[in-house]
Amino acid sequence: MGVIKRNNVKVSGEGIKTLFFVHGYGCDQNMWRFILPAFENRFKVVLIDLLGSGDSDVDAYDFDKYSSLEAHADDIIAVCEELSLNQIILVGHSVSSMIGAHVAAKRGDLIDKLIMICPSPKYINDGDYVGGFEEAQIQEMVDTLESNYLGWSSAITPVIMGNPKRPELTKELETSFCRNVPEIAKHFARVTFLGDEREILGKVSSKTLILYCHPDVISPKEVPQYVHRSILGSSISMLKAEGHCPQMSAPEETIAAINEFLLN
Amino acid sequence: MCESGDLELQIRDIDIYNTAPCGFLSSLPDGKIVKINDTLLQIMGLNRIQVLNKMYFQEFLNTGGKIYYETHYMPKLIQQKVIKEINFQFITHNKEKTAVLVNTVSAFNSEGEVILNNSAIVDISQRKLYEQELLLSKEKSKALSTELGKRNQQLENYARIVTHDIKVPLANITGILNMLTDEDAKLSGEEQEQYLGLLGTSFQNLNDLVDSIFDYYQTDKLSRDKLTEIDLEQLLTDIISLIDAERKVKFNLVGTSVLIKTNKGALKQILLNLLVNAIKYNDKSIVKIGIVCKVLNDHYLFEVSDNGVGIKNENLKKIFTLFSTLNTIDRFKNQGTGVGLASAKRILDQIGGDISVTSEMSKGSTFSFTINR
Repeated sequence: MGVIKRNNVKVSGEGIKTLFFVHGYGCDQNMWRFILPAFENRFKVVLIDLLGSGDSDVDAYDFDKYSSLEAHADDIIAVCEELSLNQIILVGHSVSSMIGAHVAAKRGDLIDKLIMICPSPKYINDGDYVGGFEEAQIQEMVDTLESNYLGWSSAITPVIMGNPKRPELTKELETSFCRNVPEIAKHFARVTFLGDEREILGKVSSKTLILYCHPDVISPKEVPQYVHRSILGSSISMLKAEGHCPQMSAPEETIAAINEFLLN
Repeated sequence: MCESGDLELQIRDIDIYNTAPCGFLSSLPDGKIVKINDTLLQIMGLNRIQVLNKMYFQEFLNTGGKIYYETHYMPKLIQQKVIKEINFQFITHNKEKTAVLVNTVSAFNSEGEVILNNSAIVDISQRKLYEQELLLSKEKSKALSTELGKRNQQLENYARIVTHDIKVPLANITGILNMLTDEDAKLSGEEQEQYLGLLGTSFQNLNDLVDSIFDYYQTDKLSRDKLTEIDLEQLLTDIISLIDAERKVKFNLVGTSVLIKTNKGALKQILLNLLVNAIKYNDKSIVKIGIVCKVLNDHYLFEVSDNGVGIKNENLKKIFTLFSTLNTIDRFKNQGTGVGLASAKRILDQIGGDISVTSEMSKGSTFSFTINR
C-alpha cells in the first residue's frame, strides 16, 4: 500500500504554497476542520492521519518501528516526496510539533516554515527542566485509556456494522472521530509522553512559530518557552484560548496567529 | 381527586435537580463550572460557594484524566456536541478517588454557538471494582490458556514421536518373531540365538523409552519436593554406585564435599542423567568423568565433564529438546531416547536454574548447570 493510502492523506485547496497539517496524540485529521476553510482558498492543504490513528492503515502499525517519533517523521517525508512537495509550511499540533522538528532536522530542504501548536519535547520533569508531569502520572493516564476501552469499542462497532446506504452514516462517521485501536493508542501514549525530544530542537533551522495556551495541563507555559529558547530565531505567541486544542476551541484566534506569522 | 391533587403538588415540590440519584454539572466551554447539583457536591465533598465560577471541570480529574480530557474528551465534544460513557476518576476534596461515568451534551444559544456543556455523572465505584476483578481474571485465564496451548502442543508432538519410536522396535520384534516361527526358514541354532539376542535388544530399547518417558513426566512431581540439606559427596557416591557397579569409570570430584540445601530428588535425577550420558556416549577405553561443584552467592554451579565422543556444534542447541536424539549410537549399541537432557532442562526450568554445554568433537563435553539458592 502506498503512503498516500496508508496515512489517509487528503489534499485540498488551491495555491502555490503547501500547508501541511499533522494532528496530535488522541485524534486525527478532523481536528483541523474548523480552521481549514480559512486557508483552502490561498494554499494547497495536505492532511494526514499519523499511522495508527484515524483512518490510517492500522494493520501497518509496527510497534517496534513506531517506538520513535522519527518513524512518523519519515512517513511525512515520504508523503512530501510522493506528492513532490517542497518548501512546505508544516503545522504540527502537540506531539506532532516534535515530529515536525524531526522532519525539519532531517530534511530542512522540505520545510520552509514550521508552526508548533502547544509543543512539548518532554512531558516528565527532569532536574531543572519543567515538563509538568511525574512518571507515575503518565502511567495513570495509560490506565485511563484502558478504562475507556469499552467506550471505544462501542464507538467502533457501528462502523464495523455500517452500511453506507443507511442515512445514519453521517452520525456514525462523527462517532468514529477520535476512535483508536486500544493497543496502538496505549503504545502511542507511551511513545509520546515518556519520550525526550529535547535534543532535536537544536537541529531545527527552519523559521519557526510556537503557539501556546495558558493554562494548558499537557504543555504548561514553561515548556513552550523552553522550546522557544532551544530553537534559535523562533517566534512565540500565547493565545487567549485555554486548554490544549486551540485549533478546535478557538479556531478564529488560531487562524489569525498563523496568518500573522505567514504574512510577516 | 383531592388526594391525587395533593400528590401532584408534593411531586412538584420535590427538587429533582438537587436530589437526583446522579450528579449534574453545567460548565462553560472552557470547563468553568456554573451550575452543580447537591448530589455531585456530596460526592466531591465540596460546597456550592467553593465551586461555582471558581472551579473547572478538569480540576475534578486525576492527572491521567486531565490528559484524557484534553486529548480525547474535549476534542470529541467540540466535534460531536455529545459524548457518552467516559470513565473518569474524580479526586474529591478529601483526596479520595471515585470512579465515575460521564455523559455530556452541549447546549446552544440562538446563533447555534455552544454556551454550556451539561454533564450527568454516575458514581460507579462498585462497578469499577467488579470490572477490575473481571479484567484480572481475564488476564489470568489468558495466561492459563497460553500455557495449556503450549502443553497441548507438547503432548501432540509427544504422541507423534512416541508412536514412531515405539513402532520401530515393535516392527523389529514382529519381524524377528516371524523369522523364528517360520518353519520353512530352517534356522541354525546359531542363527536362532542371534535373532533371540536382537529380540532382547529391541525389548530393552522399548523398555528404556518407556522408562525415560515416565521419568520425564515425573519431573513435575520431583520439582515439588521440599528443599533439604544434602551431603553432596554422599549423594554422588550413591549415584556412582548405581551407574558404575563394576568400578570401570574414573571419577574426579572437586569441591563436592559440601552440604547444600536444595531439592534432592531433582538434583539426583539431573546428575544421574548427565552421568549416564557421559558413560554411554564414550568411545575411550577408560571413561573419565570430572564433577565440580561451586557454591556461589545466589546459586550452586555444577560442572560435569567427560572424555566422550563430543557433540557437533550445530547440535549443541537442540540436545535439550524433547526427543531430539542425534542419531548417535552409544557404546552399548543402543540409540538414545532423546529424553534425558530434556528432563534435566525441564526440572531446572521448574526449580529455578539453567543448563548449558560446551563440547569438542572426540575430546569430550562439559555440561554446566546452576540451581538457584
